Amino acid sequence: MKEPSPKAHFVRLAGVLGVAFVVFLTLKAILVPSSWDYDNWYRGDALELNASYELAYGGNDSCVACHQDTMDEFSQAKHQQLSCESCHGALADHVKDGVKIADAHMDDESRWQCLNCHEARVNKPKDFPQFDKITINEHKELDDEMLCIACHSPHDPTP
Amino acid sequence: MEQLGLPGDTLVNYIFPNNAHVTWSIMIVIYPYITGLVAGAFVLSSMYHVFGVKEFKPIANFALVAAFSFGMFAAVPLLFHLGQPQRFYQIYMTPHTTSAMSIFGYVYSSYLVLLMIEIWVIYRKVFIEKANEATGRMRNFWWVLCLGITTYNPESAKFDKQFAKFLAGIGIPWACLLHGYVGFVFGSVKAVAWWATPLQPFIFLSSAIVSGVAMMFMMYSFIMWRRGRGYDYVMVKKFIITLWMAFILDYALEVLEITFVSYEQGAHWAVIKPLLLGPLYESYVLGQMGFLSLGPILVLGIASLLDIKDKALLYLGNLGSLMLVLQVLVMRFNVVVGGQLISKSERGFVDYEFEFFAKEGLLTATTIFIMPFVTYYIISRFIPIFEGKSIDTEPKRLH
Repeated sequence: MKEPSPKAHFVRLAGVLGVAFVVFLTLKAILVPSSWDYDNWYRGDALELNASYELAYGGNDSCVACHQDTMDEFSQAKHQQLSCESCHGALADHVKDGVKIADAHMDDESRWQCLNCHEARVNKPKDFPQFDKITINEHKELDDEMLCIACHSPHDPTP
Repeated sequence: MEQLGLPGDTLVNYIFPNNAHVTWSIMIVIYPYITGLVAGAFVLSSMYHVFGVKEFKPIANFALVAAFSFGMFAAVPLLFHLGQPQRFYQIYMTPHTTSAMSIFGYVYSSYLVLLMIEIWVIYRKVFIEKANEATGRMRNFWWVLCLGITTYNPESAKFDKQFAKFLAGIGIPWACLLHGYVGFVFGSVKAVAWWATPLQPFIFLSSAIVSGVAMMFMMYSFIMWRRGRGYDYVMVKKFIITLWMAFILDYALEVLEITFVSYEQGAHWAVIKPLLLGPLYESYVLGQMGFLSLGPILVLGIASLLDIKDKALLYLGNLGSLMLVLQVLVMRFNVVVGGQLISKSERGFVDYEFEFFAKEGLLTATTIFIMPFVTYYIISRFIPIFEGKSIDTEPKRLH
């Protein structure tokens, strides 16, 4: 067998690297999304994809049709600027064609939902009602089991 | 509540609600740490390959294989941190120059390719021997690794040597670029006062060299001890002097940086000072700048300057190396986690709590960190790493 040239392995190495480079470029061409916008650097299809998702939130207007009485109470009270769904969760699948298809869930067995907004922080306005997680029980001498909603209706929280 | 002399005598823990969590965790601490070990080990290997420092000949290949073993896992912590590891390839797809991190994929991979080619050129002789000896599937494996060329002659050996030198030559600036780049990734984040200094790439690079050399010293000592063979004390001495000098340079940069920031009394010093004297007091003042720096300078200084020989030299070297390996680890922690402890309000500090079993906890970090050593062990089962001591002829030690 003819002895290979002393540089033959470099030629083969260059070949391997060349092939690897072509494979890389090919993969790159395939894997970069076809809608990639090189001017603005984002995937063009992402907008359509996001727009195509079904809505999870119905908005307050969708609640009024059935819950007018609650809405009347709510819209006069301090929580009037909140969305129903900030406490009740996403409700787009609660009613379909005027018929209730799923229950609206709400955690009414703990305080976390109230503390989501009312937990004390230095950077909140002073006149905003705030409660420290640790010292909250000093408020009206609560015990650990006592819930905020025992005294405050979430729809009209004025004491 | 404790007051630390912040602007307007503000309180500690004055943090914004969306700033309560230290997002870059211990994974991001070990990412630059492992990357640094790669750069340090490579520089050590190039001492012989490029600069012809004869004393380092016995460990030149060892340091190269170790650099490769660490290199294999340098980016793994990032995958664990980000989640969605199946999307790993996306970093190569659409990197943008406005994102330092996105360019890292190319900087890192190109370096790893260079390392692989250098190891291949240096070990080609071994691959060819194996291909000619082996039978069956293993023969195919070695044959592919030789790219089908199974003859080795003095002329090709000469070309290989020249090419290896060339690769090591361009490898040094590349290794410096790789780890300087990691420092750049942090140093260019102007939103974090403790990171944003142009000196950051140099500090990262010099500490990388220190940690790499120190780690190589400990690995060398351990492997030689396991093999029950003699230590090359001439080389050990040179090793220690190199490490000592590298660390003096590194420590000087670190001290200069903090002196500069402190003397300038710039806008951010009001929050950096209480950070260093408060949450980072143990890890920065006592650890990084104190015991773990002054200790090695003293210990390695004694070993370098005095006429210390044999085992005592080895013990001092290992003590100094251990402290330096830890020094660089806490330095990475102080930079990565420490920088994020400054609240975005610059009026207080966020808390950081170590986790153990969590997704980015200490257990995961330790496991990832052990992997390069396992990889090194596996590679060492296949190719002889220390010259003249083929693994096949090595007597098996029972433990």
